Amino acid sequence: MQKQDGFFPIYHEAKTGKLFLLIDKFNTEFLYYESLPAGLGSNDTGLDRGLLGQEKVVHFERVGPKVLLVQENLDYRATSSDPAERQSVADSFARSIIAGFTVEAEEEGKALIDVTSFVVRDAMNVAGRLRQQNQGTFRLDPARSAIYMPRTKAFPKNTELEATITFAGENVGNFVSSVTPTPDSMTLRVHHSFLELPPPGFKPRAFDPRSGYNQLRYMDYATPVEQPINKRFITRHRLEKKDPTAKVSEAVKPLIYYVDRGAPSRSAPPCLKARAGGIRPLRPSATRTPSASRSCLKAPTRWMPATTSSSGSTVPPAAGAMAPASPTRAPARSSRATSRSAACVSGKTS
Amino acid sequence: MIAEGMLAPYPGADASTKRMMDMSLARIRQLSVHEIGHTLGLVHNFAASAFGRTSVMDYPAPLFTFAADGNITLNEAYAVGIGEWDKVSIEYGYQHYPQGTDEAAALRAVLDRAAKRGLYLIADTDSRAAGGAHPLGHLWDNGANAVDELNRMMKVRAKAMSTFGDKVITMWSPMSEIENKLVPIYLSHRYQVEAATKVVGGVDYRYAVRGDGQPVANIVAPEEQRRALRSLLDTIKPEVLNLPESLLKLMPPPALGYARTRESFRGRTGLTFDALAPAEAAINMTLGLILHPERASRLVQQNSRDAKNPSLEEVIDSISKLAFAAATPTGMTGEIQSLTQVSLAYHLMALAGDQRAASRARSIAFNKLEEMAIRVDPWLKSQIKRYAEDPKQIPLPRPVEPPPGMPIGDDEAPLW
Repeated sequence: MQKQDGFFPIYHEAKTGKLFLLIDKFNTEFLYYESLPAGLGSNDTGLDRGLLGQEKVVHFERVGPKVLLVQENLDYRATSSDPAERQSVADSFARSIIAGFTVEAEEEGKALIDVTSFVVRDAMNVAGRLRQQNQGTFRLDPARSAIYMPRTKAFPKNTELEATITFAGENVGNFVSSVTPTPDSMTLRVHHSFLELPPPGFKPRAFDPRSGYNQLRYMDYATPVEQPINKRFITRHRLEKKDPTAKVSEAVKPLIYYVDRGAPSRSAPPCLKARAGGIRPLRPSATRTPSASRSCLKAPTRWMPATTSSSGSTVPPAAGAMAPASPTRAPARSSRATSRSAACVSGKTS
Repeated sequence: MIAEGMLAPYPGADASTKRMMDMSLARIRQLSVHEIGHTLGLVHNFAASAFGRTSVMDYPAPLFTFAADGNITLNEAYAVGIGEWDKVSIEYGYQHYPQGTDEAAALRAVLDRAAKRGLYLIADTDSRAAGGAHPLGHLWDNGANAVDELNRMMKVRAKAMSTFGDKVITMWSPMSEIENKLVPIYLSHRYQVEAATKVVGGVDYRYAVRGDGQPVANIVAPEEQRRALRSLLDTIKPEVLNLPESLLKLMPPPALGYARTRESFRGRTGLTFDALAPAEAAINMTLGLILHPERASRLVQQNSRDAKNPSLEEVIDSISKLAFAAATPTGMTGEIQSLTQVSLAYHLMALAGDQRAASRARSIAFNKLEEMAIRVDPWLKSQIKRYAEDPKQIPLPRPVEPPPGMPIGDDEAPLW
């Protein structure tokens, strides 16, 4: 078996095509999210390359022969020093065990689990989305799906898993058939990211409806009765000054945006320049604002060739459109997660 | 594409695309900063364009202006760099406060200073709703006042329509491609129509908090509401919507291999271009927005709260006046007037039967429909009669709708 050390070490058995993870951290929270690194190409369906799933704070739990991937309910909490109070609120609202694994091998408290079927699944709910949009019935065909090793990698702070998934479709709608070579065989890729949470120390900032930010909200049942039970914060990056006393300071860790290597450059150099030029204007204010950054953000800015978009539009986005690569949450959705997850979300995809 | 339609830039051998390319690149620059704004945690501020293009977090309509020679120019199509509102929101979210600062007070001060400068936030829910009421929170709009900008936009549109012809396509392109270029020019005012409609029955409000001293929820001044209505009705006058004969002669059915798409006008004449379909789409769009069930219900209430505010009856009567302007309609402008009558009847039926609308609004719509029945031709009269007998069904054909035009689909839009 081929091993890669990292946040969760990866073992790949080439002969069987199976993928294993070594779980060496139990009951330790980390961030998990899915994404769609290879999309459908029909922006009507929203299944665009780079689409993000729901970010979740999860942990592994060991129960006898099983390893469970648990997502605690962070929308309803009790921020209390009384463990009984915390437990009563935790037990009052459902949590979600999003995957269960059988231990294949173990040593010194570490467990090896087979994650092949967890990785090779419709984690982005492609079939459900297409059904909702009357695009037909799609079923993932395991025979035409497999782990995608070029993007399955482990790093010190994150482990990245990817699969090629093929859907067998019936009564395939026009959004799919117009962009798929053989419409009843639709092949995409799905990606899973496990990321270490940033260290504590993020200072959340209060939400104000006038401020222009996405809201991150949870209910805290340990709140004194005279205070609002809804706790509201803005989603923002962890930005810290190198020199907290200086009016203007370098960032401890600046925000870095990576422009998609696939953005037209040789063929259409002005586009790349336009993108770089477009991105630049925010930078001065982000660093000049005497707050400065300490963020593990690495946000890819993706170039998306589009099938519709410009032809009948009153507003031309030219040949492609920029997709938001929001590492926090999709904007304007009600944002509910921990403040830690909002503070720092990173994708070091290979 | 819209730039080509606006400029008619291809006089012959000169096929320079530089002006259009520059505009597209300006848009992509603007869009990349917009998306980065989202990654910083920011939401849309759809009111920001009204304060002088103060945010990359608005959806910008390309600003077409007149050059000194009277031609349309793209020079100011998109704003460059971030705006004043962006600085406010970034200061709120990212300003560092030293230990010991009363952060809540400091953050309130940031927003107070912005409000004093007339800068505030109006986000998605308020701006996307077709029945929305905010006079400034709009998508794909420009200008400090939605009505003024609609009037200005109609001048731009008139100029673009006057030059619209085979010069909107390059040499050796199929002539049938002209039809596709017509859509964004003919409907270039569509989002400004949506914006101006929100002034009718509008409420000027803020996400105000107690103690911040902002205006809270003021009904838009009656005269401004009436001015908006007049401008809206000006956009569907037959002479504005009629396509010149010279243009119709340039538009054949689609050439082989160049089929119409869902972004083309949907006509009723089959293969040949339907010269009335664009007018029908524009009329239907405008009347549908004015007689939106929530707006109609709001008009009834606003007029009851203060009789100075325009009533729903008054609004319907104004439309009626336009629909019956010419006593003996003839020619293509006469056809467009007839379309207006059918569209008005359709939308009154839709309103009278709409479960979402207030019962008073439905009753007024029904009464106005009955009044209308006396004035229309026997066919439309019979349709109104059929509707009165069975209000569950609208006997009239569904008016053609404008093709989709947003660069970002309506469904997915809230996520972007």
